[in-house]
Amino acid sequence: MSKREILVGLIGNPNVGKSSVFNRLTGAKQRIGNWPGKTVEKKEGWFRHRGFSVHVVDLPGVYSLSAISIDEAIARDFIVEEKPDVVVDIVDASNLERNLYLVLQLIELEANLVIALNKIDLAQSMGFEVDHEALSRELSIPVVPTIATKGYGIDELKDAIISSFENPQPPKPISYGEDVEQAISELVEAFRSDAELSKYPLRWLAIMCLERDQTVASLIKKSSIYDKVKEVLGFER
Amino acid sequence: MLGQDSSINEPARFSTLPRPLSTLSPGEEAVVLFVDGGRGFTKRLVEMGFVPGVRVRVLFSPNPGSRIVEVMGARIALSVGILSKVYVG
Repeated sequence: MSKREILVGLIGNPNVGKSSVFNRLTGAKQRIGNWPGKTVEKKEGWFRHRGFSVHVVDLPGVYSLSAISIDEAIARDFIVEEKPDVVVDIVDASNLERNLYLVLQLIELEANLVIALNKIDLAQSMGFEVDHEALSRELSIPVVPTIATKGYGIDELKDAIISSFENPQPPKPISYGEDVEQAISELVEAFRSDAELSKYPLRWLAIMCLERDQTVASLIKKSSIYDKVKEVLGFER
Repeated sequence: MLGQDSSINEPARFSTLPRPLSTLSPGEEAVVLFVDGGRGFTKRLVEMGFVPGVRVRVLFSPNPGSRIVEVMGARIALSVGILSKVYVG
């Protein structure tokens, strides 16, 4: 039996029931500390499932990963730098539209995603019927319906984490149309030649660069290919 | 693309005169038309749910300088200064 530890990041918008899922997954095996150098609580927990030891890190509740606030920076850095084996995005089924924005950003970060579609009971009582199989097909991401407060779907979620770890499936990249795709592929080509930048997901880097994301911009300014990027962007910065 | 050069900032098809969200009284509802701000500001507000076409409702005013606003199923506290840059109709 393999004795590998699976590293899982738990992410989601605020108020989606992330802590409930975390507690259901890990039970009493938890440790609460701080993110190094930041006064933001870091919760970690462990569980065993099908012979695997799983290490779960609870990330701050965020609406996006733009790294404007410290919470977002922590969540984003964790995914980009620590490269967790699986990222579980907890999505509030009663508020799908808002939650899908973070899903999109995680797809672009090339995270190995599993979606926990939480609060399906609440969604039902509001009259929403979410077809989780169709959602899973459209996104090419496993979707597990859960009611974390009642413990429903938690075993299935554990199974999904293990099977995503064993065969990661890259989600379909989202196409932004010809003009944008042209710029993205030119930028990706430029990034590929830089050793420092090529450790990041290149398509994500290109999209963030086109969005004029501050953190990514400063990363690129320090790199060897800044001039080439300026050329592609046709931009003064 | 979000920001000043994008369509999100362009006024379009107004049925009523656009007015800042800061002028709504608690209990009033309206639809977001556009955000009048720079790239970072606009992006941040869009991420919080202030997307054109979305219904917003001012819930209450905890103090004269701020409002609790419901948008896309979340309640968000914002200052009047920020809300004065979100135009609704």
